[in-house]
Amino acid sequence: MAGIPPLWVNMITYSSLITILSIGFTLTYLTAKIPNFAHGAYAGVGIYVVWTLSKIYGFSPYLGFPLSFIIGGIVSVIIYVLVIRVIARLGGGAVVLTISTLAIQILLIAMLSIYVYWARGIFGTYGMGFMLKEYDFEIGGYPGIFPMSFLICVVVVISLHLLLTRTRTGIAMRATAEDPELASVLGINIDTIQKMSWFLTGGLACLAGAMYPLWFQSFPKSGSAIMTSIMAGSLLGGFTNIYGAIIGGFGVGFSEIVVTAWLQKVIGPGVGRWRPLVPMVILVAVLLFEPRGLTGVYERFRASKIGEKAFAMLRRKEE
Amino acid sequence: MNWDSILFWVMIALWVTMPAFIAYEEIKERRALAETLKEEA
Amino acid sequence: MIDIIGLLVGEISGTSRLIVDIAIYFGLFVIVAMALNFQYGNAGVPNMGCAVQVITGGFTVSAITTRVTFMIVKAAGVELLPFASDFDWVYNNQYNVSVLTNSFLKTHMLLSISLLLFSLGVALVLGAAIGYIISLPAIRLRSTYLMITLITMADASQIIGRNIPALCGGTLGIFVPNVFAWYPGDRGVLLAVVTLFIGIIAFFIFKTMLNSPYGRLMRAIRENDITVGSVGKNVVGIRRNILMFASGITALSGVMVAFYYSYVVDNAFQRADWTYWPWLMLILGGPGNNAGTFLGTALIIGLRRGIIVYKWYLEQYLFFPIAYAESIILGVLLILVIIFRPRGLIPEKLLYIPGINYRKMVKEETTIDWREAKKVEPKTNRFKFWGKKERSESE
Repeated sequence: MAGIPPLWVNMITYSSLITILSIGFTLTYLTAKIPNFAHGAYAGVGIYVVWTLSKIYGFSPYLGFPLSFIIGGIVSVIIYVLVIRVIARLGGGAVVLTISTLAIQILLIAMLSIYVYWARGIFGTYGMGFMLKEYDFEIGGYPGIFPMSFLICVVVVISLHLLLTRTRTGIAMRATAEDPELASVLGINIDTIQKMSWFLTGGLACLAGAMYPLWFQSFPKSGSAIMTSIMAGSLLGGFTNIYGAIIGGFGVGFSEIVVTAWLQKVIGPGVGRWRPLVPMVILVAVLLFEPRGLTGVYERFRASKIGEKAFAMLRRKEE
Repeated sequence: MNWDSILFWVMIALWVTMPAFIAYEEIKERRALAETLKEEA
Repeated sequence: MIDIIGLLVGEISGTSRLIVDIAIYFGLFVIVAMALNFQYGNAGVPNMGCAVQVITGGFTVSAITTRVTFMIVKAAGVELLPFASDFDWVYNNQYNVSVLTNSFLKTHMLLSISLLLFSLGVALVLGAAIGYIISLPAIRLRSTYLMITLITMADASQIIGRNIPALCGGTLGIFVPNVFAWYPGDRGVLLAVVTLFIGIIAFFIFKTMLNSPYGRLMRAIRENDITVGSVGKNVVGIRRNILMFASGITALSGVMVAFYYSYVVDNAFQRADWTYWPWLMLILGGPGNNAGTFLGTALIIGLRRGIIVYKWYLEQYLFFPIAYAESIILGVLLILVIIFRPRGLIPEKLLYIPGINYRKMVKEETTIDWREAKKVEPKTNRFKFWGKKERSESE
């Protein structure tokens, strides 16, 4: 691991975070059929769980990762039961549920800000714009979060794949996502499965949020501020494809950091101010040219003549 | 000529006009509907 | 109340100042809310990017009107500080505007009024252009994609405004010439009158469009756009036209905001202020009819201004700053209104077409539920012998 330029360290850490969040966002869209605008706000909850543990009680932030996963899952399930299930049962359409997730985002940000304000009065620490870099350990000269974030991202992807394809709960989740009525006919309890999937997505978002303050400066609205990157990553990979979200997340992280830096070398340092626009440009470009993202590109390639020949060749090699 | 007070009352008049107009339209519609109902019965 | 009636000999202060304040904000937000009602309540186009349209109006004033004013004033002989390059534009702006231009405009009433009309007209056109641009990516796709795109565009417009100094002075902001400088009295009342006047004109425009065949077409698209498409109408084009038209009118509100604050900076057009609150006003009042929008706007504006005015009184009970309380009220009200009063306080009814008797056409009682689905009762845990579902708790 000698001599990795700091740009790539930055890119891999950021991309791992965005990938975990994009996977969670795609998972929510698959199971609940709505884009969950509060996804970034759940990451904010994770940020402040780790803040409470580290700044106030003095533990290492890495101990906070499993705790934030659990707390995030619980908060997500509570919100599902209180708000989203009620509206869905009353017969809300997609637009109304999306508006309710927006309302949840506003509420979560406000409650986190109040929590920071209240904790400042009691504990005397500042929760706005903090970083936990001093609590981190070092590996080979790099801050520990760099290999850890990538490792956690890989572990999340593998365990999600195993969960969704090997375990009964995972297969039940996929069945519920595809056809709820048929799944309930087969005896799957839809409500429990929905609660499980919301627990999973909330926990994943909080896990990503828990890693955030180790690298970036954190505010209550930090989670929602990267919402655009999350949505761009999810859309880039195809809105309904979890494996596409992985590629999408890394693609967006790559564009935001490496391409911006390269443009800065070529055009001038003024490009840096426009960095938040990069995921938006990706979003708009994806929607303009191929709304199904990379999945659509892959499908088109497979259906085209070159793709058919390539796949025929691959199949012949297997035999 | 105290322009301020004149404009103040003009503002209140404008502000009240819109709901008044809506209410007027409502009453007109309801009356027309009631008449058609009476025609049917 | 007595001091209001005694106004005929006095000036505006105290309670009447509060009323003027409420009137201005009501006028601004009612234009935005009515345009939003036109888009979402009638045509089913969820426009989460109102902030973009309002910002366009603000930028029209700060970028175009100010420069035109400077050029006219310069041609009339008043010596202005240079404003050609970006740095000079921002740095010399305050002196240029507050000292030189305003004193010039004080004596030229016709010029000021024509500047106001000019900026309103340009904002209308530019707002429609922005409506076209933001509708390009996602108007053909599902409404989910449209919402995502528009929300990100609202953020993008703030970033664009922050980074191009020629538009609104980057992070510092641009002062805007006071086109009401010729008025001898209090500027606020005149602005309130103009804003409410624009509001009335917009109200009549929307009402006429609603009760016309175009309005019925919009309602048809909202209910079932596949059928309308199969009849031969260009659904995508009509949606785009609706978005462009409502964008233009929302930009007018942005112009009045710029003139009210006399200052344009990108932080003044926050996403929460100009998108979420108008949506709350719309949903609270009842989407689909103008009366509901009015009621919703009046309630919310009264609430917000009341919170600001009585801040000292409320802060004794709350241990956190009022800004967070406003956010919490926004979120909680949105959720409560969606759950308990989904059709709003004033529910929508069938469009009134004079001469057509509905009772003959519609046999049963129709309720218009803008959430596209009926009430679903949760199934209980009863065993059904002849049915397939034995263990079901929810749907």
